Amino acid sequence: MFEYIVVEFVEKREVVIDDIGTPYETDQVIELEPGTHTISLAGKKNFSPTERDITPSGTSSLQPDKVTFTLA
Amino acid sequence: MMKKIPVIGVLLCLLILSGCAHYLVNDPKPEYQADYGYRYLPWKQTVKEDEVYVALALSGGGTRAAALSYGVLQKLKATPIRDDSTTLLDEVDVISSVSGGSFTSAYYGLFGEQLFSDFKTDFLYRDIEGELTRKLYAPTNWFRLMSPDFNRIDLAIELYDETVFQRKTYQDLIDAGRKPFIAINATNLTTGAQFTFTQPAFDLLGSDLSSLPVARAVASSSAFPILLSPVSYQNHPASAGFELSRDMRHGLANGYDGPNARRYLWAYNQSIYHTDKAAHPYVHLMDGGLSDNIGVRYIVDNFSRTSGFLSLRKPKIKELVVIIANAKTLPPESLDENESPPNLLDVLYKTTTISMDNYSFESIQVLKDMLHISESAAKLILRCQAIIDQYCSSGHQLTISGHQYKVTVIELNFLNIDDPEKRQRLLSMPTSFKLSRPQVDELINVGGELLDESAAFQELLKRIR
Repeated sequence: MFEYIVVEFVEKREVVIDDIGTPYETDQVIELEPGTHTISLAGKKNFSPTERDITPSGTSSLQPDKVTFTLA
Repeated sequence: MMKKIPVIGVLLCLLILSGCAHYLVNDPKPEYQADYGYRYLPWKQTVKEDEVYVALALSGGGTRAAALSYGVLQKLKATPIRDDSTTLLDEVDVISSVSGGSFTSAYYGLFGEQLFSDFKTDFLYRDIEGELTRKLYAPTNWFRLMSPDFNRIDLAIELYDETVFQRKTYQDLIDAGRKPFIAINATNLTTGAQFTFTQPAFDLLGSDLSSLPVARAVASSSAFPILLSPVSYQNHPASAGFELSRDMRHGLANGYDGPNARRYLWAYNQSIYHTDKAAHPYVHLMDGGLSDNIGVRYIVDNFSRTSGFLSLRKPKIKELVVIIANAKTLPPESLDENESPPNLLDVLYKTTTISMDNYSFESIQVLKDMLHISESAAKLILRCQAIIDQYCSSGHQLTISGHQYKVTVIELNFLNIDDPEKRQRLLSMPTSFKLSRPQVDELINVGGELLDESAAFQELLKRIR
């Protein structure tokens, strides 16, 4: 019914999911419906890549997929 | 010959009058504006209000459903919370409604607490069926009904518009503050999917919902098959600047065989009105009960989809409450007493209601399962962390969930009534827009009583009172 991810970045940021800014933040377990999603970060555009397409599968809240952004 | 002239004159006058019959079309919206119209407010504007998030689902079932819904709203108004500083009714954030329930939700959305002083006489106590029949038999309307642009449902729309909703439009709902957000649900006859009267749905039609009479949406939501004709809308050219949302595009790209067939079908059934306008120049809507007679699917979709207003609020919600006013009946059945098979009418009735009832039941279970899985997923991390803290000296910290809420789902159903006679009386009440005053009053009382008797409701009150 749901998949789970954690977005990693060196700073605390709000997470943008499928082009929409959300109250979810980096370093939190995020609940998503199954399927492909586009993940990015809010705020300063000092991260790379600018967005990531992910299709998490078989995750759980204890074993979420990690989506990592680095300082650009 | 002289006698014929007045007759012809009268007929001509009637034909001219029939020319006045109007076919209300939805206005075009030449340019898309992301924040325009009747859409849910951005989450940043409602952070404080969303801590206790209350969603209501009001089912179909004619006046029976409208009265039960009224009783629930009345009970919420009589339920003080936060040290009596407000009531639970003020905490209601969204009302998703179908058919009969849509009369109550739309009236409350437009007129607020005027509902409790005027709605009984404006709607619940009225013989709407009788009034519609009289309109149908009025000779002036015969000629209007001969026009291809005027149908039986248009008579109903006129009646609701003039005598219930005071010619209010969706702009009036916007002006009323969108708290709660009113989601009136109908069924798209082509796709079989739920159609919800919101600007995002009208964006796909290149149309402006703001000028649409609320009565037309309610009539679409309650246009019972055969008795009433479908309500038609125009699919206008695409608004400049509009494009499908990213989650819709992902849903389509993943395909039916992909990781989420539900999202694919949701995306497909809506997107065709934007991507293939030539094949779908119109959309025809009927009773919302055909696709979801409870109104919970709108809540399920907005909890699941990443563009959904509930999905976007998950991290800010502390108490997530869904109250379902389900006016489903279960009249005594005698089919099994006869050796001969049921007659054609019985078979027709069963054919239209059995699948709807089964789907409604499963929709409620899907909602309950989904919310409890979400709640448990967050709790699981905290429980594991507690075990780590107790038995391991490593100091390992798990990543906690971005959402942490307590879920309460309450289904108000006549089956929950203890008194066997009262239960059977309510389970046998007809689906009609004409009930007696005692029937309406009993339904209103039952709405409040069922809520009051719910253990989950009392537990919720202990936490938020």
